[in-house]
Parts: sequence; C-alpha cells; structure tokens
Amino acid sequence: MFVQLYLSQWREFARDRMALFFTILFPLIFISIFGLLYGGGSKFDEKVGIVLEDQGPIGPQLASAIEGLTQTPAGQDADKNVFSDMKFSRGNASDLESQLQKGDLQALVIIPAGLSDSIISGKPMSVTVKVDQSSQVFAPFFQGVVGNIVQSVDQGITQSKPMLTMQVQSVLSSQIRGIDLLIPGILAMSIMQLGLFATAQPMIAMRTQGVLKRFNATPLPRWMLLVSYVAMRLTIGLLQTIIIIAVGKLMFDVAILGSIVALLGWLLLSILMFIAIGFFVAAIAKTEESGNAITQLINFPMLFLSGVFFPVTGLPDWLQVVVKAFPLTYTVDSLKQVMINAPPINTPLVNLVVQLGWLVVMTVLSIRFFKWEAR
Amino acid sequence: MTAIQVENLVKIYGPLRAVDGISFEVAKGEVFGMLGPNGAGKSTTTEMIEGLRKPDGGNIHVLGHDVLKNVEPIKQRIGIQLQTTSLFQKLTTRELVKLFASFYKNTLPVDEVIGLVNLEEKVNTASKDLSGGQRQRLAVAIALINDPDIIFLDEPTTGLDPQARRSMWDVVSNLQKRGKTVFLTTHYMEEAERLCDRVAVVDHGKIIALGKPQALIHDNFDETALEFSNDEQLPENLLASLPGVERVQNENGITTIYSKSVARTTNALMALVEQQQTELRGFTIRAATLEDVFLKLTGRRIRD
Repeated sequence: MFVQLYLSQWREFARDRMALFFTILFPLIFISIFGLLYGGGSKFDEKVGIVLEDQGPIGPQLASAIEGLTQTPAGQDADKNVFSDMKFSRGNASDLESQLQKGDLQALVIIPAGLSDSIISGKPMSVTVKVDQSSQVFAPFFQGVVGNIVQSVDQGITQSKPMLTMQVQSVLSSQIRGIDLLIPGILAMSIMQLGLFATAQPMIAMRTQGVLKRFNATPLPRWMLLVSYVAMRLTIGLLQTIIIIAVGKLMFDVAILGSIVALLGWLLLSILMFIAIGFFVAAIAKTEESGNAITQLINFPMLFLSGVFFPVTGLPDWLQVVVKAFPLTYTVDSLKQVMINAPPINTPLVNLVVQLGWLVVMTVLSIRFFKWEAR
Repeated sequence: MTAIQVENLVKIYGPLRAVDGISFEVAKGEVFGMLGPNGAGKSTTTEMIEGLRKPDGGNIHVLGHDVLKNVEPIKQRIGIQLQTTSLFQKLTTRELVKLFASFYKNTLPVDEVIGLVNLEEKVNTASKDLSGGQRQRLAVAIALINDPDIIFLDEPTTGLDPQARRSMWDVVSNLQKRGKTVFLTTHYMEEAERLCDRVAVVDHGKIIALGKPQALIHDNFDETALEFSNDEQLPENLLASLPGVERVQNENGITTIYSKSVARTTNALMALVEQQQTELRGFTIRAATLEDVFLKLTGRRIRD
C-alpha cells in the first residue's frame, strides 16, 4: 500500500518536466551563474579604516587586535587566512569617513574618546563599525569578526583578566568566496520552495480535483496517504539538497566546514518545517488560485529578505524585526553557520527551537484546519 | 437478500433540503437506477450510501452493515465510480489500477479488470491522454478491482458521445451477467430504461416514482402514441373524434395521436384513411417513455 502510493507519487513527479526543472535544474542553473560571477576572488582585499580616539588602555588593544586579523596564527597556513590581504589605515574620523563615502574604504571602525575611562568607571560604551553594504560578501563577515573581537575584549574586562587573552574565532581558517556564501542560501531557497510549490500546490489540486475524495472511498487510511506524501517530499528535498551540494562541491569546490551529519540534521529539520508550512497553506487555501496567491505572498518576501541573496544585517532595523519572524531566516542562518562558520545571527539553540516551533505549530494548525473535500 | 437499505434519508444544505426523506431497497444482483434532473439529489444520496457524506437524518444499511456506524468493512466490498474522477495525470492505466489494488485485501488480477472494461489497448497510456469515455471506463475498472459485491456508478455516461455511451452500457450489462449489484444514477431516461431492473425517479430530493421501468410507464400512462406524417388530408377534428383518442398533436408535419385503445383507434384510423383515399406515410405506434412519465409527474422535462 505504502510502496505503491509512494511509487505513484514519485512517477507523477518524475514525469512532470516542469516540476523537475524547478526542483532540480533551476537551483543548479542558479549556482552555475553565481559560481561564475563570484567564484573568482579567493581572499578579502578590502581596505578598512580605524579611528582611535580613546586615550586609555582598551582602545589601542582593540585597534591592534583588529589589525591583527591580517596575521596568521602560528601553525596555520597563511593561504587559508581570508583576511591576510586586507589593508588597514588609521586616521581622523572626518577624513576616513569621507573615504568610506567615496568607496575608498569598505569599512570603518571608530573607537570613541573616553571609552576606557567610561568602561573602567562601570558605564557601558560602544565601538562603532561602519561597513559598506555594497560589498555584500565582505560586510557581514567583517561585522561578525569585529563583533567577536569586541566581545572577547569585553569578557576580558568583566573577568578582570589581562587584555591579551582576546581571541579571534576560527572563521579565518578557510577561504570564503561569494559562491560559498551563496550555497546555503540556495539550499534554503530550494527547501522553502519544495514546501510551498511541491507540497501545498499538488495537495490543493488533489483536493479540488477530487483525488482525495476518491482515496477516501477506499479502505486506504488517511494517515497512510499523508505519511507517503510527506515521505515523498522528504525524499525530493534530500535529493535536491544533496545534488546542489554535490554540484557545488564538484564544480566550484564550495566549503563545508561543519560536520556533514550536523548539516544533514539541519537540512532535515528545515525540510520538515517547510513541508508543514506547505500543508498549512493547503489547509487554509480553498482553491488552487488562492493557494497560488498565498504561496507567492510567502515566497517573495522570504526569498529576498531572509538572507538568501544578501545578508540580513544590511537591512534597516525595522525590517530586521520583520525578518526575525520569517522561518527562512533561521534556516539560512543555521545552514550558513554549519557550512561556512558564518558569524551567527542566532545561536544554534535559537535556530533549533524556532524551527522546531514552526514545525510543531504548523503541523497542529494543519491538522486542525485541513479539509479533505472541496466546498 | 438486500444489498442496500435506505430509510428516510435526509441531507440539508443551508435552506435547501437536497435529499428529503428518501427510502428504498436494492436487492442483491439487481441493477438499480436513480433517474432525475441535475440537482435532484442523486449524487448526494449516492455519496451518503457510499459513506462519503454524513446524512442529516435517516438510516443506511449496506450488505447488512450500518454505514453511519461502521463504514470500513463496507469499503472493502463496494466499488465506487465518482461523478468526476481525476487521478494522477501522468500515471498509466495499469499503474493506476495497480495502485488502487494495493488498498484492498482481496483483488482481481489487474489485467482481468482492464479487460472487463475493454481498455487492453490503453494499458500503457497516461490517464491524461485517455478520451472521456476511456477515462470513465478506467474509473469503472478501478471500481471493480476489489471484486466488489456492489458497484456504484454516478452518472457513468454523462458527457460521452453515443458510441462511448453504448460501450459503457455493455460494461454494465456484463456486470449484471456476473451477478453484481449495480447502483447507478443518470439523467438519461433511455439509459435507465435500458439498463435498470428498477428505477427510482427523483425530483427535488424526493422519490416521485419507483418500480420497473415498463411498469412505471404503464402505471402512469395508459395512452399509446400513434405517429405519422400528415400533409393535411386528415383534419385534426376528424382524428380527435376517432374512438379511444385522448389528444391529438401536430408538430412539424408529424401528427401524434395519444390513444387509450390502440386497436380501436388504429382500425378506425385505417378506415378513415381509406375513406379519404389517401395514404399513411411513416406510420408508427410507439410506447410512452420514462421521459413522458417524468413530464406527466412534474410538468417538466428531465433535461430542462
């Protein structure tokens, strides 16, 4: 029963050229285009300005720690330090800021006057990092790295240990190119579209065309139909993501820095989550047309705002709040973390809890609202 | 033995009583038809018997099981063809029959079922590439896969061309020969007359007549129609005064005499023809049909 149902759906899918194109070929075309565009450059060679106005002990520590990014720690291959070709310059705020405006600098770190005094007397104070958002690949990385440095300096202060214990995270251990950044985004996009286009749409069609009704007239248990439907989508999802990763690896030698098992785990979680979201759309949409509209309504904002094509950190603050509500944001973030050690937006625990939460809530709501028959 | 027993069945959609107190029984081995116009409540009744829709009142027993309480054992023993069945578009005839076969405990061989509906030549054709009639026969094949005791056919020939319709009639006749109980709905009176042992004529959710097709016609109609081409040699008032004549109608040069006494009217008509020294062309004596019955009972034609 299960095998026949599963096979039937598989045949129906495999004989649909449109579906095949969008699930398998489309992401690959995407990778190829972006791979050719971004694949070339291997290291960051951006120029960064540092404004050091602080007279106390903390400011200079911070400045030299950032400048130290170009130096490769002993025992590591200098070729693998992506920041080793960066250029740092110091100067006053107005000069450097105008250089940043003109595009001569890609980032600027401002360590304000009185920082040390303020912190020593117990008042919090912040370092300003200005990044040229047009350098899409570099900007989020640099922000993340500086964030880490500032954090470790801060920890040094509160724990009243020597300042020199600061560390730079292992982000630097590999070469990160545009294509490496893009692959997690493409994976997340494919998974979302699997849930929306390959889960919601066919289910709505099966209901409006009376296929579900016909199945109901047989002894086939409903749960069996649903399980085979989900199993089939899960297979497509895993197949699709594996193909994308494999092609990325073979054609462009993309980075997978984290463990494969963890990667598969994150993929599995997000595939299930988007299948549940797809079921929810199928549950609330009455017709194929309204299903289509809802699908696009979900697809487009998430596709462009959740960090698939450009980083979430570049968005205005109010939009970041909106983006926090998108499940895809957490998918992209978790995949980027596990694949390329990208600076995290959320901790893995948050990514796990939020995605599990979506999965559970969507499943419950789908069960609550799902209709087996049109009208 | 009773295959289907329906008592006082009611289904309400908003202000509409779609099925309004329908009762009947279908015996095992019988071909039973529900005849009526679109919207009369045929499909709703059928789907309630099949367990696909919950009635708002009444009782249904199929093969001795209460449909409302325990539909699962019934599902194994009935075969259903819905009014519109669309299945996986890209699967072939054989693949679809095989898929449905996997849902049942006892099944007939896939190729035998395909043979029963004469689709041998289309076993490897995707369902979207089948004609309307072939798709309907595929739906019947799927309904037969579990060798059911009762087969439900909801408007099996609607939208089919005459040849495809006749092909479907052959399939139903074969089912009857194999001793199956067939429950079908139709709005073609010719189909009901030809296929059904008994017919329930329905309108506005109620059964307005129930019985053997010929008996229904005889019960409601004791007139017989005498028809011929008339080019005015036989005036209407003369025809109306012939013995046994109830009514005379002239339409497009065809005269129809409704007579309660065929022999006396015919004899008198022949005498009149001879006396007028004319000739009767295209003379036929035709029985009333279920269409005439429906017209008489409701004042409307079925396909209005």
